[in-house]
Amino acid sequence: MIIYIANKKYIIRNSSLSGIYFRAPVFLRDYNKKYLSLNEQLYRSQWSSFIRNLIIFDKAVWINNPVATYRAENKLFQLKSAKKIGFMVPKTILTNNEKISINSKKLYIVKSLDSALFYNNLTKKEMFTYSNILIGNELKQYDLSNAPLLIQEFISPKIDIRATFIGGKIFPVKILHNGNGLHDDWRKQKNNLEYIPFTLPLYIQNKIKKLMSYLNLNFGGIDLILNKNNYYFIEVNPTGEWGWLETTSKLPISEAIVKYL
Amino acid sequence: MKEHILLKKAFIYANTSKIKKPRQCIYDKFKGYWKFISNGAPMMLSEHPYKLGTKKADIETGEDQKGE
Repeated sequence: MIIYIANKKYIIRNSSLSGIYFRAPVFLRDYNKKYLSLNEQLYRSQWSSFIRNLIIFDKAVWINNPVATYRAENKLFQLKSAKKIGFMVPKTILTNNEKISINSKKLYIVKSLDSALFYNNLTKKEMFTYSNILIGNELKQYDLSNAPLLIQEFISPKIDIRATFIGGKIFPVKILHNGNGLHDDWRKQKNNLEYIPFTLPLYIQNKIKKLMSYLNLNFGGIDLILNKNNYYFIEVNPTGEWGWLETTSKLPISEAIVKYL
Repeated sequence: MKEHILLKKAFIYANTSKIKKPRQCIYDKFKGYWKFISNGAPMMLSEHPYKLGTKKADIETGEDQKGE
């Protein structure tokens, strides 16, 4: 592959390319989008495909390979894989029917199957749906037929853990508020929390390495829950955010990414 | 049709934050980092570098916009 940046020519060969940092995987297929001009549709779709076609560089270290990323981002697949590896996972139901058999008086975690990021054209505001804690009776009041969602057992009390995995190295932090675990989705108050580096038990580290190898991922933001000495796998994000984490915890995440590439 | 719970429970952002360009800096596309216009020194190695931020300045919006 030959790339020109201004007047400089760069030649990239499969045999010598050492690493690819696939930082912002967005799958742009803008078919029939009225708000985009023809040129914009052409630009977005074809350049996006060009990036995906870079998988021909199969000798380079990828963070992360697009094929592995798109496979691993599926939550049911993650949970199944984690369970197969030997992780404890929350009991999970996927449904679009509010009449399912759940305990009306019990608390559940309700979350989206895919990232629930919306733009309201009427209010011109962006919206994002975090995980929510609901009592079964409240959930039954909604009409879920329009879209499926995940219902999971509510595990409490808990300490949330984010373990950033980079090429075999694991950087775990406990996520606390005033020294205590959080009841709700910690991301709702991300900027007001403590991120305390610590060491995971060896058997959990081994499970993480095994899982990431199974998913063919060299990087991931892994969410775990610690409840009464039990570690539960919640999810892995192949393109998880980490900038805020390095700033707050002082963990050398960016250095680890550079060294791995 | 009743509102879906994922819409009802959505957090509404007040404003969409924009990533700010470092002041008095220019991006060196050959070297791949921001540097000061005055002396060419790397911005991130200065006394007051911009905080590390990932692709959406670490705004929690669901990590990726997969598929459109």
